[in-house]
Amino acid sequence: MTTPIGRAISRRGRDRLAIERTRPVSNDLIDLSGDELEGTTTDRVRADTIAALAQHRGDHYTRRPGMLSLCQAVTDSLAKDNLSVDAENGVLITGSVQEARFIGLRAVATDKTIYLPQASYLSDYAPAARFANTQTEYFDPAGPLPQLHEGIPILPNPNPATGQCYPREMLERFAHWAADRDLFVISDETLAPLCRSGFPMLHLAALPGMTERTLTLGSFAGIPGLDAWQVSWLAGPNSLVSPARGLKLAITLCSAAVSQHAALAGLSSGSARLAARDDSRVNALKALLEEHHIPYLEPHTVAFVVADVRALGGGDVVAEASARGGVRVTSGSEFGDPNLIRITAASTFFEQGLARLNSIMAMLEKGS
Amino acid sequence: MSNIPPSQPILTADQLRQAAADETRLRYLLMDLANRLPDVISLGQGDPDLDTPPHVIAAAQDAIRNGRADIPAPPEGLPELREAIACKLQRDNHIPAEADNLLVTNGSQEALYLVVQGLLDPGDEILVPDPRYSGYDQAIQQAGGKVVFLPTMPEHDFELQPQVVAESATAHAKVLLLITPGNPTASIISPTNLRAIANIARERGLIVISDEIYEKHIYPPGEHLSIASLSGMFERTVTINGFSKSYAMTGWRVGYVAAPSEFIRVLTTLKRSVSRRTTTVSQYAALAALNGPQDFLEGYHAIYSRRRAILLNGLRQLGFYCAEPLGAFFIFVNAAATGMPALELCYRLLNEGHVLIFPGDSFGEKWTDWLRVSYLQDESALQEALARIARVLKRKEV
Repeated sequence: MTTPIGRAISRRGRDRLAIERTRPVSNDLIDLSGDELEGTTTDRVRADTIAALAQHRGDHYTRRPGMLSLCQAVTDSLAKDNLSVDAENGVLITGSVQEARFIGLRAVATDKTIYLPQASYLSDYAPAARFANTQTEYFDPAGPLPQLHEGIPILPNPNPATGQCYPREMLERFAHWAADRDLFVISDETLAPLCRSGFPMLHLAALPGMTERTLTLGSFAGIPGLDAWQVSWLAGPNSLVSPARGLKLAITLCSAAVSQHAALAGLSSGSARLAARDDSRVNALKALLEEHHIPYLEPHTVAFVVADVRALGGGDVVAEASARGGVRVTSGSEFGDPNLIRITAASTFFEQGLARLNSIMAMLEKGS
Repeated sequence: MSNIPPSQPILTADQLRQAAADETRLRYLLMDLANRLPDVISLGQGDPDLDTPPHVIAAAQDAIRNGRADIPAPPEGLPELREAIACKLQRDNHIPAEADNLLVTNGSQEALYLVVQGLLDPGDEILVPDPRYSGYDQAIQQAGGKVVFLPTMPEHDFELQPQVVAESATAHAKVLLLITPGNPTASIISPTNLRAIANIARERGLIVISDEIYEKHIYPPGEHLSIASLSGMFERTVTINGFSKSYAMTGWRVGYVAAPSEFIRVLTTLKRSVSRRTTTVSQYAALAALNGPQDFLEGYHAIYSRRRAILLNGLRQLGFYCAEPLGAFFIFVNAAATGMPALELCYRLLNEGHVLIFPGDSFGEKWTDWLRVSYLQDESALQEALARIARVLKRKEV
């Protein structure tokens, strides 16, 4: 550090710099890692948003927790799944999924211990957890649940580390356990809008005894192409959402009005939420894995397929070989199981990426 | 509306007084109350009422139409926007910034949040002029920083004095926060005083956060100088700015930080944790704001100048003492002559006159006789607001 400011950087700042992941950089790298869910907005979303801008509805701050019409649209969609939330006081529009996680964690879990499933996507939570001065411990939602009476369990559902939803019986057992111990819970349901038909996702907060103790993190991921627009949401009882609102004010005041209009247009045009994207890509990915005799977890969402590549040398080997071959996938060592890789179907260049993956796997098979 | 009868208060004065312990909450409570009343004229918020310029909106629409809005930008910001901001800082502010000295943020609020997290460790002292914009409070609190207030005085029109900085900058002080033009006081730190403050910062090893969000809103004889442009200051200054106030773009949420690149790298990693990136379409709008015609800024300035004169004259005619507002779009007003604490006066103005004004309490506990009045309404609304204030004051006398 050579400047006075460099020497003045806080410990938090230095820590973050040290743990920042380094990634292979290549202009020709097709990203199937799932860190970004790429896509393009629909004509309807574009037209509605352009019209909103023409009417100067993007010029000014919105209502601070978010446009009431958008909050109402969120609660309407939750109501279809038997989850009742107060649009005025129970919903906060955030700037991105990451901001929803950051605010949720800081609002509910500062200075506490958080409990994550052993197979989870830690990198999504770790930075926010460090900010919130939390300790992280792990548990197996399907196994014996820990005997804790404080701390904040976080349940990512669908789980980005497996691409699967938790079954009803497991959620009910979890809910009973949390209620019994009077715990607040964060239910990260940001992938829920991408669930495939036949794989319904249950809202944890809709289970008996959970409405008043669950902060639900959600997204507009079901609206194609909205990732770059930085708009997401969280919802829950006012007791949990109120501190989150205060944090949002301190961090970004409110989310971009243009993005909120885009989300509203997406939701009202019917392209959103449970109207999941065409999952033909997921089927193509499954077919590729089957062709190479690679076992995989049945994907419950159109976002990811998680495959067991130990026969090819493990997640790190496949991720490195893939990067050399022009495709970025995520090694399971980033989310708790080094035998796995995670591949997304939500990429603009998916077909080309799939062709490259085919060659890479063939090469690895020969090598092994 | 010619005469408003006193309405049944939705919020009691006691509730308001309790909320006064938290300055930000107090402002939002008043805004909430205002939203529940009919026909309120807001002289409270700092959201420019003017429209975002048409060419900026057109650029955003174009980005949406051709799909560029759907492509996530790098966490540090669009390269072309960072280049454009660097050019602006070199040209307008004489700050030697290049693209890698810049981080684009979701509004300047995120910029200040990240900067404070990146600089303050628990127990570190940050020197903050008083009265202050309380939007910094939570960021400082979360970083564990300790605020040391730098008093500013009406007799100096609330301009921060170098001597005050020198007296307060003990060995424990790490960061000096400057907001010029200032919020809520509309004061400006003159180039002479700013140079003296820079000398103190260099001598005492202080890092300076210079919040210049109101830089385009300057009134004679005010003059804006960026402290990072002074010799030896760029490497110890973090400049915060954005598009909200200058270009009437609060809804788009684009701000930026200029600082030595090693600090920008740290802020970028922090940003990944907090929000990951800034909305792409908003960045294209900001790019158009910088690269497009700038002549409309003069028109905006003329509008604000006329409004400022109307409100300043009107308030003075009503017997209020007003500090000379040299910048921003606020007037900091002493209400002691009314015989009412500012909080009570604001409460009555809102309930009885349907005029929203923020009490000085919402910018620091000492400022219970002061009001921050903004002039982000058209001229007829300002005239009407003055008439309503006069009626409430007269009613009180009766």
